[in-house]
Amino acid sequence: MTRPMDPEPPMQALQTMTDRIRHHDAQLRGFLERRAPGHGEELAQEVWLRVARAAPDCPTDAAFRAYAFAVARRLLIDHHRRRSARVQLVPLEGGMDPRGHDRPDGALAAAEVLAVVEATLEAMKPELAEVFRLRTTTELSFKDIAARQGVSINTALGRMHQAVGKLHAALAARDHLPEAPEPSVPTRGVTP
Amino acid sequence: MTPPCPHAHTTTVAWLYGESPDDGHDHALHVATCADCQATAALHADLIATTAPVLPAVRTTTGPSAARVARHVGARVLVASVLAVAAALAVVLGGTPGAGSPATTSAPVAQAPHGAPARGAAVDLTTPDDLDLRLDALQGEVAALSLDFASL
Ligand SMILES: [Zn+2]
Repeated sequence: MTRPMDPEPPMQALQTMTDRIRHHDAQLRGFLERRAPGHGEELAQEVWLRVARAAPDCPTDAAFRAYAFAVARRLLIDHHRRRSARVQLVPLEGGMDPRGHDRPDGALAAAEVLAVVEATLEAMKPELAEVFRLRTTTELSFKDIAARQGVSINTALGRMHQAVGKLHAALAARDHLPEAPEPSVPTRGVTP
Repeated sequence: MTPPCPHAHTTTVAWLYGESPDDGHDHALHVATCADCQATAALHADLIATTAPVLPAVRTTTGPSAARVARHVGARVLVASVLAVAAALAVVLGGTPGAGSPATTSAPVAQAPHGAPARGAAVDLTTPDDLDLRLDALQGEVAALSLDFASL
């Protein structure tokens, strides 16, 4: 008796995806490890798992790489938010030390980052700061926050983006952010 | 000049924080091909990674800052004090209160509900909302009494 089997992807496509994963794996792990010290390996595995499941139709290698890094960035945010939600006290490990996690002045760097974040949140419009605080430190969704502020969800999303932009600029001005984001060049050739 | 992608400040932000339908597979394809949305993804991911170690500390200050709360409290206590003085003047200028009326100017304030203290300086700074409720009750009591005294 035979039982139905899941359709297998074409051997050629599998070969291509495996090759592509091998090709980009080291760079992706390094990217993730710098932003989540000690978790690069597990996050990279999760990225490749999701990419394999989605099996995006990426005609070019550059398109495949862009897709994988997009998924990686999304996972990074989720990783840090989940960890942050569990921690009750200020940890000096587990997140990315903005200037290198093995530096002896990690605690000082964290204190400086906190000072910049607090000062920037204080200086921006309260409604922007509120969206950032609520979305990064509580389980409230953007929909919940929008309802709480009495605005549309797009307004809440725009406020989050503005707050993040201001914080990013403030931290970059004080050399607390890593190298320029990658990849920076738009990639063509990915089709759903 | 190409207009910015309309998703960069909206849909992509929602997608980055896990709030998109179908687990965001389709939108991941868009992000992979859109320079604006890739920039958004990089901005948010790097910012969250950089601030992750201090986010729990940020959480503890959610809401108005201590300075703002202090300014707010100061203004509210000032209003309450002015109303209390007005009530006292009403007592003095309006004649002798009848039997059962408060004997001192602070007595009406002491009748504030929920155990609110008579003086603003002794307010228990629990939460801003709680504080607002208490100060609202305090002001309401004083205002009502001052009107009562004025009509005597
Ligand atoms: Zn876009």
